[in-house]
Amino acid sequence: MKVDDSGRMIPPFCPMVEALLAHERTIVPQVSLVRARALARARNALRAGDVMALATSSVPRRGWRLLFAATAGIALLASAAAAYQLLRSPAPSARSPHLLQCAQVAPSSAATETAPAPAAKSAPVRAVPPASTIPAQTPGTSRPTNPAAKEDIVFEELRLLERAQQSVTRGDYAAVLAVTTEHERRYSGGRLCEEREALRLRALIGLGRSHEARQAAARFRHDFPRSVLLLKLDDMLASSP
Amino acid sequence: MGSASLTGPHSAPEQPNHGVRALDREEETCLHAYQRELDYLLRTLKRLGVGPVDIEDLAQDVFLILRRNWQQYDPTCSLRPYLFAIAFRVASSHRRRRWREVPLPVVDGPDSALCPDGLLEADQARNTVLKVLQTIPLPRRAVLVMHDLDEVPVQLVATTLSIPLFTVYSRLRKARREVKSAIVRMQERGAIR
Repeated sequence: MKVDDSGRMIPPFCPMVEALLAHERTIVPQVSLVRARALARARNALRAGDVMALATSSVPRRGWRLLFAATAGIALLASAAAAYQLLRSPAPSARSPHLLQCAQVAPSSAATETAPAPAAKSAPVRAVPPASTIPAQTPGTSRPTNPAAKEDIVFEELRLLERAQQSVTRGDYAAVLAVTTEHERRYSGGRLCEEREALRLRALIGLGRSHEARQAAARFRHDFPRSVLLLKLDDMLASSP
Repeated sequence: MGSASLTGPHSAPEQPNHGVRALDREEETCLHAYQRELDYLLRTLKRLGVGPVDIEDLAQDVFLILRRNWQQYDPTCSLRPYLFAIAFRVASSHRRRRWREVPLPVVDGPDSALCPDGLLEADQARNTVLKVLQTIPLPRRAVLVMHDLDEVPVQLVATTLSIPLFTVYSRLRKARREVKSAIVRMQERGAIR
């Protein structure tokens, strides 16, 4: 993950940008002809009863097979290369430092979209205030109830964890542990604690503390059983000595 | 969200029924929902960088996917995030097929010469936002559009786009910075005042 060059927070949107966005938030009705055409097409597809056939991807089946074969081949090659690297250089820093970047899940194909969770309107996110304006959160301290303040806290958490991420990139796993400990102290129930624990686990593996890493992994699996980071963590554990 | 009727002013012209079957209740419901959110969907596709030439085809693709997965949709939830997720994936897939992003040649809208001042200003603002959005890479743009324009909570953005919360915040932060830079550049060129 790229971090802010200056290491500072994003300045807030100026009023002009906010005004521009406010205009764009209003959905203007489309030209009637466009609407009528789109609806007629949709209705015709339904009437023809060929939704299932039409909804398949425009990529031909043969193309999918080739794509699948190519992907499998690349994955095999990558695994072999990774195994070779691990055998050659067991130093912790040789492994991929980009835990969270790698753990980002690419959007799945159009055919596999998931059902959405309930939607609710929220206040627009305020930009991030300077770090000094946000008091350190101690365990047990009540959290702000104002949604905007909560988002500010999250950006502060994000900034802290970005430091940890930078340290992972440098291979400075001791620093990662220090930052994750500081995060835990300040934001014990923070919204990014899942990412913090993943970073901590990464650091433990990097430091060669396999036993602690496995314990941390078990806790992570217990606390975040549906985490999208689980697969990546399993891979890391599997590749740890 | 409004609740426009299928027989409302925007409804499609009725097609002659030459031996084709009538729609069942579920299909009617799905079509009704699609009709209700069609303006939003078309705007979303435009925000995601789909050109005017392709927009109706992609809207149709979104509808077909929506229909196919209609039983998975929870009607107690807002349809927009669900539609956005489909639109985002369809737009991404469309872009991959084209191999390169083609910037919008024309950001179309009502004829500004006919608009009163207020409408003209709003129209210009919307066009400016669309141009700015085109400068932001699609994954970050999706997060920005969902959260800052559609006002979807970050948790739901993460769920809808199947990405970690951490990533949502990172993308949002960077996208906001890119919005600001793009607007500054446009101001320097005199494109906006």
